[in-house]
Amino acid sequence: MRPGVALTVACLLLPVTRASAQEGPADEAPDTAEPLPIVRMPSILAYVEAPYPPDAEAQGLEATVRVLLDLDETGAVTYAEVLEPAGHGFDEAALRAVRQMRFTPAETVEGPVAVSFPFDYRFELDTPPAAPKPQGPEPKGGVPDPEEPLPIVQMPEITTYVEAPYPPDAEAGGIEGTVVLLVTLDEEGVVEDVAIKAPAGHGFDEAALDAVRAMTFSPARTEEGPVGVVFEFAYAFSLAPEEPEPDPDTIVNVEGRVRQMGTRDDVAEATIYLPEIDRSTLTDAEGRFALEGVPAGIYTLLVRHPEHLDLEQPIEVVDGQVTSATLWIRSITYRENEAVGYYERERTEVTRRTLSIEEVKRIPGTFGDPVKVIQTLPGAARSPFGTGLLIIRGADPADSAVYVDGVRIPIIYHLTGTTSVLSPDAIQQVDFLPGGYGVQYGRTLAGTIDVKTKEWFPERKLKGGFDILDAQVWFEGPVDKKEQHGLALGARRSYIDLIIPAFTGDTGFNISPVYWDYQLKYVPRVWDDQDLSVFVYGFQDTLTVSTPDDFAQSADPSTQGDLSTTYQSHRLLLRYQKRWGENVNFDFRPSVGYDSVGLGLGQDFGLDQYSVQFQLRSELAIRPHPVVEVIPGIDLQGGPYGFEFKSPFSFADLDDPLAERDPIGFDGRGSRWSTAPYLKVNLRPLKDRDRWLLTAGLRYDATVYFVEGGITFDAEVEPTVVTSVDPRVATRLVVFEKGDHSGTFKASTGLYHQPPQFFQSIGIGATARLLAERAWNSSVGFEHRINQAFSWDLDVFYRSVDQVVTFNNGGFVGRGSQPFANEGEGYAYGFEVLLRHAPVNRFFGYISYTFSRSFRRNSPDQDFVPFDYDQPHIFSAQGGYTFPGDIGLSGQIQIVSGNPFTPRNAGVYDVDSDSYSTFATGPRNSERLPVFVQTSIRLDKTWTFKRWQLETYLELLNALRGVNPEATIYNYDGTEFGFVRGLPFIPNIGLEFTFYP
Amino acid sequence: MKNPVTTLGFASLRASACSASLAGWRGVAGVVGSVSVGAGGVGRAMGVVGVSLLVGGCAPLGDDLYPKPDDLSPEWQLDRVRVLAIRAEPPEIDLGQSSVLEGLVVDPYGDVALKVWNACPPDEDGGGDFGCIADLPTDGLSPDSLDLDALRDAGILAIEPIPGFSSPTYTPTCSDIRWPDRCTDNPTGCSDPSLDLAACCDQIGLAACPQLEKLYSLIQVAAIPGDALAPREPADPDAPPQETFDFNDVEVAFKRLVVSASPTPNTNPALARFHVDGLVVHDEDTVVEVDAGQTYTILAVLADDAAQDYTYVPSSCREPGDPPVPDACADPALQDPSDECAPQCRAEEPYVKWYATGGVVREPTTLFGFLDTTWTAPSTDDPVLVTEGDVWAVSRDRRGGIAWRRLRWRLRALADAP
Repeated sequence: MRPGVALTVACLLLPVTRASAQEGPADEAPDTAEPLPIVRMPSILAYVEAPYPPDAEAQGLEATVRVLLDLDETGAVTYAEVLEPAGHGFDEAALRAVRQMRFTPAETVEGPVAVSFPFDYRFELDTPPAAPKPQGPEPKGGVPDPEEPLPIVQMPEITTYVEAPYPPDAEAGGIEGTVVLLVTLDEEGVVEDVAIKAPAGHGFDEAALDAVRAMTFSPARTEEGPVGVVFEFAYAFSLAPEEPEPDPDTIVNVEGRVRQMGTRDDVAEATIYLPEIDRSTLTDAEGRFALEGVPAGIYTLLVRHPEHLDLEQPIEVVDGQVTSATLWIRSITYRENEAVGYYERERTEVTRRTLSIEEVKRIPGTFGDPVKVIQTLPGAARSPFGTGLLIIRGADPADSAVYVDGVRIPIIYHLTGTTSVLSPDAIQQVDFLPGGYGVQYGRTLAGTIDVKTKEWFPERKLKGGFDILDAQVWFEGPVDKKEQHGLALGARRSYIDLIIPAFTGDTGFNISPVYWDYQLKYVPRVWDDQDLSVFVYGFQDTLTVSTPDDFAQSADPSTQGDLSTTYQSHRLLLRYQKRWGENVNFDFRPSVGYDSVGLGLGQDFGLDQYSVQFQLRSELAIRPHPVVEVIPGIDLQGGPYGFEFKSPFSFADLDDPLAERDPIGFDGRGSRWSTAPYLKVNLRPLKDRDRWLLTAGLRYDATVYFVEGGITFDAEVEPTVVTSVDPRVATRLVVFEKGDHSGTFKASTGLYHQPPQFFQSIGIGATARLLAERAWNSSVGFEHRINQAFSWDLDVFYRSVDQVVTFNNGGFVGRGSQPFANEGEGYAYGFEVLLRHAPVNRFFGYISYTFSRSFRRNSPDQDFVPFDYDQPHIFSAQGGYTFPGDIGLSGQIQIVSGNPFTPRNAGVYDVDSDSYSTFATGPRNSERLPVFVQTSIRLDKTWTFKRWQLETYLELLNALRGVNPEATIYNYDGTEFGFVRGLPFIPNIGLEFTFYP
Repeated sequence: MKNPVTTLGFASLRASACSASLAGWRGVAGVVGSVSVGAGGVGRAMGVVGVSLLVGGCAPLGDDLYPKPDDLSPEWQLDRVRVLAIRAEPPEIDLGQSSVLEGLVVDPYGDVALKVWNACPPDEDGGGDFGCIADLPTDGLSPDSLDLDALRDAGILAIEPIPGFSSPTYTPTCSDIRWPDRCTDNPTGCSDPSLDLAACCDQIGLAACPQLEKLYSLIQVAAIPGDALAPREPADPDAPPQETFDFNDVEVAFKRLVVSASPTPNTNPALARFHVDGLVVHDEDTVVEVDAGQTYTILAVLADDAAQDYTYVPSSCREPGDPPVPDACADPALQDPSDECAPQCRAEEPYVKWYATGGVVREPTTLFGFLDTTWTAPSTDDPVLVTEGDVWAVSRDRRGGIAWRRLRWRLRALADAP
């Protein structure tokens, strides 16, 4: 058996200048076989001065009494005895004093431990006691000495412990010993000198000297900083003791671990209580607990933790056996209640609206889709049924943009408009920027949505689920033992095509929307100052409208057959970030994407289009001074595209039903490259840096369009170049702030340009002469956080747009024509209010109201009319409450003005085309659809098991109002009209499981 | 309904709150109720069923608030005055020739007092979205007071049933044609280049713009109900009388009369007979007895010469002064697939639109080769039982040729029904 080496440290320290170091022998080592080294020695918290023995004082005697002190894990003195008596009343006085003293506990790497060590109590007549008194009283009768060194407030600690070899002869002879050394450290904690104060012989002295010289220490410190010190160090050599007969009362015979059901997280600081014998303990950080000496019998083990439900577990304790148990306790709620950053984070955008994923999941009617929820926030209008269009502050959907991790994507919703193309599990956060955003975003006139995917996957989980729309599976988590490599992957497939007929009845048409999507993300976390991630995702949407084979869809034989649309998109996104300290960050995000659209009607009509998109977004954020942050960046986007078009007839013959049908076909190829360098400066002029933020930015956009192919009539067409400059400023000023109560003023103004879409940039055999569309956006607002739960937010906005690309009536005349022109104009104004109760105390909810007006005209000689997406009043309220037992009830109501439409009336019958031309009976968009009212309810319940969770929910969509008018439809001759209906009442039953492998 | 609890709930609710429109929603809420019963205890299930009843039961409130597409009249349904077709005989003529015009005006209740015919050139786009504008006297179209000469000067061809003015015939002139840009942008075929196309046409006919298509005149008919003829009472007594018709009251239809010098002028695609579930109906006066609610397959049989072969040359291949196009169908040697300007012989493929004054037409449009539709006779469950009526088939050949045929039917006496 290898002899153990125990260590105790004499820990009374004196500054080097104070030569009268107290002295005393080291104590015996603890009797553990291989104790962990002490890394932090006890220090005096409360020094108690002993009364000087009167006789000794009268005789002028001084003395040092060496006492053995036992400290427990809290640093309290549990035992003291005189090792080296001094007589004359010194011993008794010293014992009384040290028993009242308080120390910091000794610590090993595992935490505080009980120790024994020798302590020298010095009695001197003319000098105050030598011991430092960090918190003790001044020595009685002492006179302050101006040269007196400052007391030590932090003693040296062993940073590298060196174990001395046990002298072979001593080990063979069963000899133990303790060598007391005087160790001198310099101000950096380096061992300058080691001397033997109390030798132990038998080879112990040499071994201890060599070992201590090789040790390293942290320096001692006074209040003014590190100082050199001399202190005693007792190096004890002891052989492993004989195994003592265990005390039954100190044997652990009940042990176990407490873990949370479902997530399998360890539960620390849970109380383990045996009421029968009134014994309790707490679990450690790993959820482990141990009870000693529990008498044999049957007990009820009670587990309590404030965030979990109580658990009572019967156990039986048998003599001579250890009872082990893993206790699974249920969290009071498994719902994440933290609000994500609506007010909590640093914000550089004037108006950014963010909701927690937990809120999003529980808003009925959104299918748990965080992107879909955007439509319930102020500033966002309701999308017409089935379109998924983003209508932000009354703008054209094409004027807004969606980004995923900073990379712009063409569409965000599947064709049904019910869900986004990313699985909700892939999404960490969705930022909705209705306006006033910075120069890092561009090529848009209106709002922006930035979807941020998860940056890391701390926990392995496997999820699966289905609802009325689709079924999906998802895995995420670290994939290596060191948890340095995270992986997430998932896929989803719809079956809504099978369900639609149940809700639409026999319309004569079979509508089959089908979508699938996938996501794969890999994140290595092997560097402290660098981040890297690879994200691949894609999706496909197909929509087929078919009729029975024996059913003619129209009188035109060329357009018989199914109408089919296929949209496909795939993207690879890389992200690399590097940090140099706290003030310089570099962000680099290249990506490549492929998009294709296929549109077909029967065999003879079709459009196939593809595009490859290369994008690069890179920023360098530099903070040269706490007041200033400078962010130069670049936003590149471009790539080739192509299309092929075929038609059974010429466009020129569209209005001539008797024209001979000669099929046509043409193609086009080209590319569009756009580069946008920008510079953004954030100023925080006030001492409280978060109080006032002033942001200014400048963005330059240059877009070049190249066109070739049949669309150019094989002519060399000069590229179209479109440039623009966008200056923008914004500010946020915290007007008042006290605790959770704060008010923030915000304002922004700036120019926004949007280059023409690629199909608009095509002149027919000629260079398109177009400018970028332009908008001037301004807003002013106020945010008021009332307390931790309640807040409200008001924004007033105005936007004017001009140079809008519109179809050039009369311009489509064949070769050399300009089908589009920058003749459109418009303006929008309104205000938005959001009243929110963050997810606190089981409740969440928000009320949103937007007043918005939007007007457009296609050319300056026309009158302004309400824009197609003008929705003056948009109100929504949603909220939910979590009952005990993880039962959630939530609801939503949405009331929105109907979209405008142009009224029509009876028409004239064209016998040859077999169709009616109807008359407009009012100005464009002069009437509105009825008010849209939608009410939905959701009831959910989560069951939690040891390794997995099961959530079921029932959503009653469109519960109280039923279907809503979504568009007008006229009968064959315009004499009657009705409304195309949206979603009917739908009971959506869903199930989701989460497995924690 | 398999769940009696749910059924009872709906029955009571139907009587109280949500009127009679719940039938379509019973199934949905019944499913909800049934699932709930399986998922939890009886008490909880009853609660959920109650919510479902409330929710599902009231959903139709919204459903019935507004008219929906199913509420709109289908095109095949003849329940009011309709103009289904205009036939010009012949449908394609050269200058100097005449066509006799006829309209298929369905008037189930005898509302039509007048049918006014007029003609005009197509509009600038070459089409005719809204036909011809006719300045009709609105202060009285009484047959006794009509100035027929004035009407003729206004382009009115005929007014039925005005005696002596009720036989619409049209003879287009050069000025009645809207000449295509292809010709107006180029020199005419006339020797005098200063002549415009119409004047040139007056000299040399259609050779002024030699092409086989897109030369039209519009002819139009307006079916005017009797109550639309009476002078209207203005809401404001001091306001002047209204000068135009409300197109909700007047049925207006127009077609193109093709003017060409084609070697294969078009003819109307006549329908020879019907086959009703195998029963051949030659005579339009034959009344077919049908059973109420019974579905029949009706086949429209084209006349032998209805689907013509015709000669076609793209207009872009024709230049002023070009000789007439030869008949490529009669002489196949003229056809050259490699030459897009060579005469082609093409074949018509007439299609048929179907209409009915009662019952239900399932396929209102049938294409060439598949000219049979499915018609269900009126049912005794119909709110108003129509016991006799017509099925109309209108055939078109896509070159302006139109024909129609009527199938008369009568419900077999219910007592005689099998």
